Amino acid sequence: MGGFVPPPSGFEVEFIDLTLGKALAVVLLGFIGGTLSGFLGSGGAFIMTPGMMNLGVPGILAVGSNITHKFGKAIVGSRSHGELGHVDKKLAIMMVIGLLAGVQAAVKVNSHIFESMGKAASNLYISAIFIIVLTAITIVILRDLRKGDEETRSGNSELAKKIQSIKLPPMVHFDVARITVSLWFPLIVAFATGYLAGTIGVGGFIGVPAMIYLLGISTRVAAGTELFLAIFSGAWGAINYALRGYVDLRLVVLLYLGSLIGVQIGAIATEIVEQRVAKLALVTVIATSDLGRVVMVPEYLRKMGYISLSESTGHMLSLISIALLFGGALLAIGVIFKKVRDATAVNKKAMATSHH
Amino acid sequence: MERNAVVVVNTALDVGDSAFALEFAEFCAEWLSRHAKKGMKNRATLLYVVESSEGLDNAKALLKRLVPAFEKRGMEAEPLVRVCPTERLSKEINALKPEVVFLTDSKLAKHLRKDIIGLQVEFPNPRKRELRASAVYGAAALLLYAAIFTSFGIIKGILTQKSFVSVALILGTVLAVAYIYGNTIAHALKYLGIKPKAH
Repeated sequence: MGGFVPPPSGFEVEFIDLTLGKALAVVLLGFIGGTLSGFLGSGGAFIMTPGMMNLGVPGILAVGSNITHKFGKAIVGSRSHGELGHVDKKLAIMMVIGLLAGVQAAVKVNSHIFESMGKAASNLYISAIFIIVLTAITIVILRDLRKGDEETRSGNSELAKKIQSIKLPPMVHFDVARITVSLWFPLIVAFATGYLAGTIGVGGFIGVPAMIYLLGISTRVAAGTELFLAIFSGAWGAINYALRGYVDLRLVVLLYLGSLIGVQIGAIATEIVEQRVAKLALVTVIATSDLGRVVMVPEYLRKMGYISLSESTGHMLSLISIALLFGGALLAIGVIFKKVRDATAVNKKAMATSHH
Repeated sequence: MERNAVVVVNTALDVGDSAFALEFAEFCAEWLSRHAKKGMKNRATLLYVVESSEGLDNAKALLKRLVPAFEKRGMEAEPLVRVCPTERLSKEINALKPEVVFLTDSKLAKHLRKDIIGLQVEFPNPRKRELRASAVYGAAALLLYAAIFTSFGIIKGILTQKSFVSVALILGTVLAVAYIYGNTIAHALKYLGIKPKAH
């Protein structure tokens, strides 16, 4: 197999010593991430990647393993997913080009930083991207919760109209999505989605709103097209990270142990819990995960030699980061379960009353 | 030519799932229509034995719900409720002189099997089938996980080669685990009466 020549590397990735405690923690991360993904449609990577980094897994390995985990789930899940019927194939094919370029660029940048500057710099870079994305999403959701869905939606459709009015050739009409737009905009959205998917493992969470609010595509077509694209970004990301040795197979299969159960529980909860609670749960997870990454920044800077901090302070920061990440996720899941329990109790009471 | 069949509804009721009786009726009607010779007329008796007359109305109502499964396939179905101890059930069945007797795989059915006449056709509880499938996939998943973790030393050697072999190993294993373990969960959920969701 001589076709691929791995880039010259200064730093080599080390697989973590997987103790029983760490293995169970990865299963728990999978379960929490799966529950949130099943409940919210996506978002598992907000927990799984930073969670693995908190367990000592190098960020690049956590991202590579998480993308590979998502790829397997997307392939198996796509067999029966009705949403795949809502794909705008023309749009999807054109976006695949930008998407794969984005993933490829992300993997190259991630690998270059790790190989030339080491684990702490790579962790810092991945954390910085996480912080930017998670902070932006937190602000958008909080605004959404304050204003209400309708107002936000109408404001954004204006933005989509503005973008559609820019006649930058080539202009392309997409039948299923029912839009005519300059090809450059779907390509930019696809590249950004691919870059984020390749860097932190979260792509769809940006891709779907971008398609809805920036391109003016309906939610159903955006979700279906994104699901189709996720298979390509997952496969391409998994292949590229695997080719560079940045996938720990043990972590991937341990994530499945928890996530495939969690996804089903989360999906069942969506039928019971109202949207506002779902958004509150989501913003809790994102904000605490964000803070967890912020807290780790001084520790990475210390390891890189940019600031001086005692070892014990660094250890303390790691513990705070873990507490924030797991605390937020468990709080969100606790709220979801409580709502499910309350709804079930109300149903039972109503049934008992109707029998009387 | 007429074929006389008895559907022993009691055997579908000791599994604790009310929908099971309907599935049982559908199975019996389907079996009779599939195994009918040309010109053969099927006549099914839906037999339900109740211990006391208190349960008579409920029994009649239940049997009434099962009749359409036969009628929609052009068969005659007669609900028959008898008030007698369950121990006499085999005698009640034989008294109808059945050529075909439909039973489930419940405990009661197993008990009746040796005492009744006619061809016995069993309807296995689909939920038990799901449990079996879940157990088979679960065992396969367990073997796969055991293989991954016990031979990780060898796997790690391949992964660090950074070649297309390592890519094939990773993607192949991941798809196998997602499929096999995914099916374990999906069948377990179906056993619990929950429709699995795709994600």
